[in-house]
Amino acid sequence: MPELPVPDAKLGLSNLAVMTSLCTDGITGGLCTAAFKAFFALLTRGLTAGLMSFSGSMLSTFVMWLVLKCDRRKFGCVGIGIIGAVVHNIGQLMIAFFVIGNTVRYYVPYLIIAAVFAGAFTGIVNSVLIILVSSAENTDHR
Amino acid sequence: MSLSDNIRNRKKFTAFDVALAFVLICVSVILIVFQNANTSGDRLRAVVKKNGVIVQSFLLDDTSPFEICVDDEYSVVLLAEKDGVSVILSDCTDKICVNTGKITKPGQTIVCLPVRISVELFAENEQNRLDGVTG
Ligand SMILES: [Zn+2]
Repeated sequence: MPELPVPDAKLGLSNLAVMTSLCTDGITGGLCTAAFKAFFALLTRGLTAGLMSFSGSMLSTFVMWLVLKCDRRKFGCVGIGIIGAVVHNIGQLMIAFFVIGNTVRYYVPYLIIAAVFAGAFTGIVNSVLIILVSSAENTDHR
Repeated sequence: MSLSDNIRNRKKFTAFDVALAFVLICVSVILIVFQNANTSGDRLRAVVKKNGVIVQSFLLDDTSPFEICVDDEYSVVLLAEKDGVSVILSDCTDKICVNTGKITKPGQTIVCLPVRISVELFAENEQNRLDGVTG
């Protein structure tokens, strides 16, 4: 695996926050968390990283929402996570493509592989988190 | 139905998930094999681009290793050797370009996003073909 010039390609933890927020607060909450995450990237890592994070996480949140709404349980939690992560990395690479040109095509397959593993992980952890959160809520109501 | 219920009612993973992961990984592996397979030319040419525009292009042949300053705005220094090229110094924040190390095969690239510079290796005959197409 070469060094990937894309922030958050391998580590999916911030994607997990966006995904969990999407599931608990809906599309608006998800997009807000995604925008906040991008703003944080802008502050800490500069304009290019901020734009890439924005493009990747907004697109990924929207597509995950769409799949959750439209898909009649063909995909499991892992599948939703993988779809989100792949779209996230493609969204980031689109900005890289505009910034430095078609040289970045070299990284496409590596980014997809990274996304499959990161996405499977975030998908499964997200589903566990959602189950924990909702069972906690049920206990409160009793 | 809320999205939270949507997730709770879904299986952890399904056959579709496995198929999706399998297809994605297969396609990626095939792409990687293709990208690293074209070792047709015996000589390597390094092409340096800034903002997608070629700023430097040089052959890596039998000369002794040399250093090149790529950019005036930021200091980016490449080390060109017989068998490959690496970024040895960069003003960028993430240092991913430096950490990439030496690239040695046609198709391989080094990218520095903060400085918007990329270095790509071509087999010399492939580069000739590209020049012919783009005029
Ligand atoms: Zn760099």
